[in-house]
Amino acid sequence: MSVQTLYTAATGMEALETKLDVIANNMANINTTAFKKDRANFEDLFYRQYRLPGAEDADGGITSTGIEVGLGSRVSSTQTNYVQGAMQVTNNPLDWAIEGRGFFKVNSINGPLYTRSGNFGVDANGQIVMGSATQGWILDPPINIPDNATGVVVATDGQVSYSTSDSTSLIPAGQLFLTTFINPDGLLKMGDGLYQATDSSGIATEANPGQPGMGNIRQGALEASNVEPVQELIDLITTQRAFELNSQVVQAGDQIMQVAANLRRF
Amino acid sequence: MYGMYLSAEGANIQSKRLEFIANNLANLETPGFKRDIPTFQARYAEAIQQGQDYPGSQSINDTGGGVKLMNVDIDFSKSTFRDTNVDTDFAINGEGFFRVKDSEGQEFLTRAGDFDLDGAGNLMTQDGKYSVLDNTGKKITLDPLLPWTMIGAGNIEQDGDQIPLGLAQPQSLGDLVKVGNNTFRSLGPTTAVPNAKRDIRQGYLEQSGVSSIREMNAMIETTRAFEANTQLIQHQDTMVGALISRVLTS
Repeated sequence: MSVQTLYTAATGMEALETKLDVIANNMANINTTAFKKDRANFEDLFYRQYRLPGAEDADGGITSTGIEVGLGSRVSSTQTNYVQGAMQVTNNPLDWAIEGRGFFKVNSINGPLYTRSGNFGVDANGQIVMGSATQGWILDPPINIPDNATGVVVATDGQVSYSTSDSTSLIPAGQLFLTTFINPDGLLKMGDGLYQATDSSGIATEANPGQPGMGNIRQGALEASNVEPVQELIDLITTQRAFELNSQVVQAGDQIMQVAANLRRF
Repeated sequence: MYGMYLSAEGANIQSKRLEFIANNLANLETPGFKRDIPTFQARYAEAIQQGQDYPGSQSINDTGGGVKLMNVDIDFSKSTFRDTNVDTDFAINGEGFFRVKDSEGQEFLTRAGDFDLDGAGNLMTQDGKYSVLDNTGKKITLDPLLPWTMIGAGNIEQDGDQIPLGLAQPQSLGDLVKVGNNTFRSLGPTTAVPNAKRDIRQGYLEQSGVSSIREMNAMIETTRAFEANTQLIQHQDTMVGALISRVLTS
């Protein structure tokens, strides 16, 4: 009966609502440093067999295919798109952008976390930390910049050095590592631009920047969010319309039930 | 009273048709989805079904016997592609289906190429339920450390090795049954797509084959046909009511 229609249309509306949530978050992070946009992936639900293939119907006809009715759709996953964001030149010596696939590694009480937001700062102990609203996450391995440093220089291969007023040459401070994952989609999003490794993200591979597949460090620049406003707005419009269409189906199912309910006359 | 049952059958089948429309519209955003087309057929009259008469006898018995749901066809025509820029998105330009396998080793076919890698480097479908196969039926596993790319004719190249994505087509598209999760099961044997016809585009996804306008039209048609059938039920009810009261008053 058309009750199934109502539920089928509801699954569509629910999935589209999730897609709208994803679009809303993408749009909200249009200015977030190194934000990677998400996408909702859809799949159809299972099918109910009205009649199995080869069954005989009332007229004695044998059908080659059965009759199966689909029960709607759902969101199978939200997939992150790791395509490179645009380079925003800031000329800040502690703004480091990654050109390539890698992630910076920072330490937290719950183990290592990974990030691509390269807006770093120096904390009270002289250590390089990731600038975040809640806490300064210390870069791993730690790099110390002493008090008397007058400038910080990062080479594209991740060699960090600083200059002082009493030395003519640069003094090395440490080496930066980058981490890559076979499946960055499997990383767990922690907010604050942080990601945590999971079983699904695969083994973390650490190497110097500049190694194949890792990416280079660009000093004085930030990676912009890779959200494309036009694309998101188009998605917003189509999602809203698709939602409306599904709500129309709910109305049609309701109307049919109403007509059926008024069938009996007294 | 026979007519009443025929009208009820008509109303019933229209509400069933609405279920198909609901599923098509719910999958407006499902990649590689192919729309269902339910086909209806006129049923034999009661007397013919019971063997008291034969079809085409032109007697009073052969007045038509309502309607039945004959079968559900799947419209396999190619849908539009969408540029997604995601490396693990594939679209088949032309015929054929991707070969995928569930954990029990059963093989399925799909047109939805929104794949993803798992932690071990296996190419999987988006819900992680099926592994994507190469043309020999083995799982596709990529080296986590090395870059890979699609080099045309459906081959993935990594470190000089070429892995041909498994593409298969059934003998007849009518052999395919939908099982959900964007996959089809083939009731008959499948054959590999010949090399000349292998054309897979990386970074694109095949959109759903559902047209919202067509479905909305079908929906209006369905609700009106349902109403017409229920109107007929009421007319027949009135008729029978009038008959009874006339018999009683006479």
